[in-house]
Amino acid sequence: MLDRLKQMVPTLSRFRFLVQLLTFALSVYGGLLVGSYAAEKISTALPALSCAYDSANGGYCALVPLQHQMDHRVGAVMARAQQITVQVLIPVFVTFTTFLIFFFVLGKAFCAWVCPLGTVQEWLAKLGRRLGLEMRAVPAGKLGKLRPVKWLILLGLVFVVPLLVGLGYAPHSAGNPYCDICPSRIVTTLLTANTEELAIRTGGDGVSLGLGIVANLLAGFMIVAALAIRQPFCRICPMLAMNALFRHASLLRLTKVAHAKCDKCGICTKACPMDIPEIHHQHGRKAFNEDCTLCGRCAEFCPDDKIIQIKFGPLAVFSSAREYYKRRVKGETPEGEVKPIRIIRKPAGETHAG
Amino acid sequence: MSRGGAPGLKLEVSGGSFDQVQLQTPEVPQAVVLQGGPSSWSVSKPQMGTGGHLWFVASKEEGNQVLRASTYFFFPAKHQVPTEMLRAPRGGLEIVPMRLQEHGGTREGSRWRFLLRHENQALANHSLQLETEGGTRQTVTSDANGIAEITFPRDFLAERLTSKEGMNARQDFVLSVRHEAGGKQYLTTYNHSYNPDRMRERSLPIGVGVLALGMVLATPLLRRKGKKNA
Repeated sequence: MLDRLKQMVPTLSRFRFLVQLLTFALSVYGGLLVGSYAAEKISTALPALSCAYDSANGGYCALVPLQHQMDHRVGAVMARAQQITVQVLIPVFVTFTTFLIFFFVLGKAFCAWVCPLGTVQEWLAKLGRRLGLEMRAVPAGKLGKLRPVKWLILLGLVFVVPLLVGLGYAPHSAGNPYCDICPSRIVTTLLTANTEELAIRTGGDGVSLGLGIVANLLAGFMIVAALAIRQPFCRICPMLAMNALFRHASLLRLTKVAHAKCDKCGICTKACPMDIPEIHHQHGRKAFNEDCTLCGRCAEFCPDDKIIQIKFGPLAVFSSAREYYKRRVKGETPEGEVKPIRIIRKPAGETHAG
Repeated sequence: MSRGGAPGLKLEVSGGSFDQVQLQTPEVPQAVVLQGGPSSWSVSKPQMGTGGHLWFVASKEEGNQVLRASTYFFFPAKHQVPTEMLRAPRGGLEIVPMRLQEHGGTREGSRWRFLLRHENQALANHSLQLETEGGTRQTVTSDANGIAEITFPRDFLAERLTSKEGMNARQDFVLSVRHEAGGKQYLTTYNHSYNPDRMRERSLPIGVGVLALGMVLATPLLRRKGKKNA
């Protein structure tokens, strides 16, 4: 039984793929499986699952209620110059708490194991390799400019602009600006054969039109870019920033111990879909970078025992190991290139009968 | 029915009066008779429960005629699903929505199913009339299980589509069913509102075009792998 299970799930990546399939089905088509009300219940209990615009899904993203609460509750109440009451703070607190409970358990693994947009980008990257396209890593020097973008989007589009709408300083059409530019809204709805979100609002005001154009440009760019760059949108996603805030408080986390060979190796960074150089150069807390999605590839491709681990509390759920590494690189390179199956022609004259 | 000042709700009926109004909530599927009448009723905050769908049935009996009007009010909150509340036995002639809308609203072009039943028994092959504020009159027939499916017509009045309300504009509809049994004539209605089709203010060709432009902008990133040892 155990051997059969090992055959079915020989690597951590295969296990993650199966989890991704399950969460993808739940978060994109969950409503079809569990019924519409059950989908709403999942939304209430577990925000941060897929998209509110997708009527067939099994839940919605924590960023939706956060924007609404900034706009309709916090901003509206401040605009009326009333005291911020418990009635206002409690919904914001509840959204944050459900988010935190979810991430306290799963940690940053949400991004690499649950997020449907992350899964789609990963599948596109695999397709790119199959099509023989060159994979491009984001150079370490450019990451410094790229990394603040996700924080700016979180601060600006999830908190500040919706708050300004609530205060009356921005038009109502800018009430949930992040959702309006989010590629997940377009991609996950398209996957349920719904073209409503792909269509751009031309009958609204200039803000709606502008946000719609940005959204479609971003979605189109992401779809093609994912063929060449691993996880292009994840790098600027505010959800990555949200869970980066609490990554060290999470039960599930990445750990790395210093090793003499690490300086010369660097396979972990090559395996990392987010091209994180810190996993190569740092150890301890610093190795668990803000961009990490806890996919576990660095641990899978680390050629030394117990250097990189994924831990749940004090328990190591996965540890790097020399033997595992040897098996892993037989099927795939650290960069994600799948090694072709070689068909070797038998020498002439050799017969089946031998 | 209109939402009154907090806390609670105030219900008003137009076009007549009723003997009583009953309230059901997902938490208390058994009907509770409201205080008030004959054209205005109040719902206290405790009666509203924690939130979600509130199901109202107003009724009156005149001679051999039994009239009933039903609707629901929804406010977003952490709540129980309304299925048990909707399917709870009430007796009389009923139009029972198979599902109540939460977020997003009932929109033009969307399909909704309703169970027709009398004394808690499904009414097969029975006529259900739809009448909308946009002027549509339509009759559908229930199937063998008493289920009638309505596709909401694209009939929004131009004056309803104001730029201020946009796609949140509302237009009312009434579903009605008649039935005779035991020497009594039953007339039951279910009324609510629906919203415009979002595609009224959207352009799919432009959306596809901009998406394609985004794809074109990313094509410089694509490069064929150079052959080693070439």
